[in-house]
Amino acid sequence: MDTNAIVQLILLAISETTQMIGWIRSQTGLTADQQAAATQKLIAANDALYSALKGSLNLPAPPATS
Amino acid sequence: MKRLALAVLLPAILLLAGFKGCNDPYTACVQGSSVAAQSINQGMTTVDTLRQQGTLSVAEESQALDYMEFANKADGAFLSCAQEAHTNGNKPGTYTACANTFNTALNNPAELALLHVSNAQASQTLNTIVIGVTAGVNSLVAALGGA
Repeated sequence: MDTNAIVQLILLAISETTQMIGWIRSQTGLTADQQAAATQKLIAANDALYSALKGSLNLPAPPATS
Repeated sequence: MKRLALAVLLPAILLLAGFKGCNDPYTACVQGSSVAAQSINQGMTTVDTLRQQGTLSVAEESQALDYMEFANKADGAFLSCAQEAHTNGNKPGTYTACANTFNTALNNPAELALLHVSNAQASQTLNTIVIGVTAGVNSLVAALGGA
């Protein structure tokens, strides 16, 4: 993946999580189940952000195990 | 740097305030999980910013991100645990057990070792991130009162 694609991926991941956090904070009337569903989405978005940020660091691949 | 630390700590402060007067353990756990996820998200973007500023090395950012992801997975497990406790009829002690497991995971010494960085200010910022989340979870455990 080239650098521009990685940067775009990171920006997208940050944008999505930021929007999600803003939305969660604005929803004061949610039931606990609705809050739980929104939080699950945020946790999944954090997974994606982690992958995007790690991918941007260009770390050497771990040695292959056989 | 202080602004970044405050941005990370703020959700934990809100969490501490939010638990006051909350009598429903399921809602308290869901709110705790939500605030932890928000703090972890800000922690991830913070360590990336610190690396871009030259305060953290690439290797240090990588390790700090690994801790954040570990905490994120633990948060996901905590939320699932609380949802299961709710589905199973709110049996006494189940929510507290979920929160204690989450707290133990966050304080895992092997995982915390990933946060050791050479720059003193960056180290302080990373500690603030972790303390913000763990203080919030400790507060949640106290608020649950054994529920």
